[in-house]
Amino acid sequence: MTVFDFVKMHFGDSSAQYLRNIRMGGNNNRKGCEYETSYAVFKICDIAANELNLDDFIVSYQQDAFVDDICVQQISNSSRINYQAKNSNGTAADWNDDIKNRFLCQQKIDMEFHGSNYSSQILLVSCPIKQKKNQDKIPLDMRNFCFSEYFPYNESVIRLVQSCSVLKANLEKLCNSRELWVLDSAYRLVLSCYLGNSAQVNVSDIMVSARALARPNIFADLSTADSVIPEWLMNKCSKFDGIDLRTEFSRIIVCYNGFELSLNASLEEPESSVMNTLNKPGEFLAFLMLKTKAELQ
Amino acid sequence: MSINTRTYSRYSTDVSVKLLNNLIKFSNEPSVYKEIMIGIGHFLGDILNDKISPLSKCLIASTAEDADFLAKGVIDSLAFNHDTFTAVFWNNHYSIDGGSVAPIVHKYLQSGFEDADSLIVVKSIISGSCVVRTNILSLIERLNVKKIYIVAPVMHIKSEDSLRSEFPSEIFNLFDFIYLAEDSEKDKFGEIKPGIGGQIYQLLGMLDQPVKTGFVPNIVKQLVGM
Repeated sequence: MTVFDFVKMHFGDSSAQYLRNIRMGGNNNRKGCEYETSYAVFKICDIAANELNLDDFIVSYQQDAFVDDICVQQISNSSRINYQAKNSNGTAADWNDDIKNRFLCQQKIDMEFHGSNYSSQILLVSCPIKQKKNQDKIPLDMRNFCFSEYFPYNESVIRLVQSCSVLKANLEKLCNSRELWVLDSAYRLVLSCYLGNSAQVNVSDIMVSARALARPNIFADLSTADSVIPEWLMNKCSKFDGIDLRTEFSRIIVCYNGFELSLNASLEEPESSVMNTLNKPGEFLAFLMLKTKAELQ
Repeated sequence: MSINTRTYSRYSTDVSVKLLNNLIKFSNEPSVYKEIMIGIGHFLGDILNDKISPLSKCLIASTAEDADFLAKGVIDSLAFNHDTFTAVFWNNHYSIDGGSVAPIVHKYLQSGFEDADSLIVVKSIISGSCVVRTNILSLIERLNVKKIYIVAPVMHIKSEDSLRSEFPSEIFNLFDFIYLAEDSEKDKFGEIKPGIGGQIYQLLGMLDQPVKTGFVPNIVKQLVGM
């Protein structure tokens, strides 16, 4: 049985046709959906920064659903959270009878057709005043599974990051860095991987893709301890005056009079015959720069 | 693609038009091309000298490929009557779905750069906003600047708006764009035409982005003591 058969059986022909129309509208409007895309990236970063098993979470869009902009599923507890996104502070973002009916239908689909243990429907709006008004309009008997939520809209990544403290904190955690350019780049990499994937993908796959796409890697490995500076590098640097070493977002930073080289933490030890030819700081730094080339291709 | 589609800025003079034309004319002669870029840097630096108070401390930020040429010209000119500091970035600029990123791999920041109250971001051509955005973001939280000058010989006609739209108002309100010409055409690879005559790396006789070749500009070698 398809979801359309289920809808036809429980809500009638007109509801099944309405669902088809929603589906068709979603297909036609995919390009104009920056708002829901940015929220999807926000959710992916939230899950990636705070959950251990990223395979357990699936983010999808434009599924056959009455609440169809974004769906976040957790497989292990069979939960689904559906989002209808309205980037507006006008009537288009209002809680109304149409939204109410769609949310009621979707709740029944989630619980009875998909067999979810938990489901909720969220009206996502880009205006905090509208969110509050919507929340007040939700009937009491629906408030345990229907909500209105605020998420800011901004075309600029950095403005979005600065206007959403949770997103910023999650990106900082994912990259183990507070540098704005790192957060900006990380967001764009996750976004790129989300856009490049199919309409239904687990968070682990997106983050693996984002890491692979990052050249160099700017994402911290949350599952392991901080990077360790290899002993051979410490020994070699100690032979030159003024070279300092530190770790930064899973990378090793070699500093010399304001010049900072960023190296992969798993940099292999060069042959001793090569090392012995590097007798000046400049020679050694130039050698290390070339060592980063492979991870940038 | 034609030079006739180019729009010259209010800073343009007969001298700068000739310099820009020479970039295209000598696009196959890196040694000459480098000298022209230095000359354009002097020209742009002179414009900055008229705008920036001699009391101002200037941080001149560039990519590694521009440091010895365009940025050197700007620094040479500004250093006549300003305290200057140098920042150089080795970005890895590449395309991704939905745009591009330019993560900073290596960087040089001259001691005392935090004291600068004018940030001058120099780039040989501004096509999108990616590299300039990344490098400004890396500096902005460590500075207390009153003005951010974005300086280039040639920009794409949409780049100014694009860059402004990327930043919060408290940052983009500090922007002052200083360029000599705007071009409106791009080829299928996204390269501005006529622009500066091609890809900057090849024009300067480099094989690739400096981050991939290990190229260290002389200005950095001198300042670091390498």
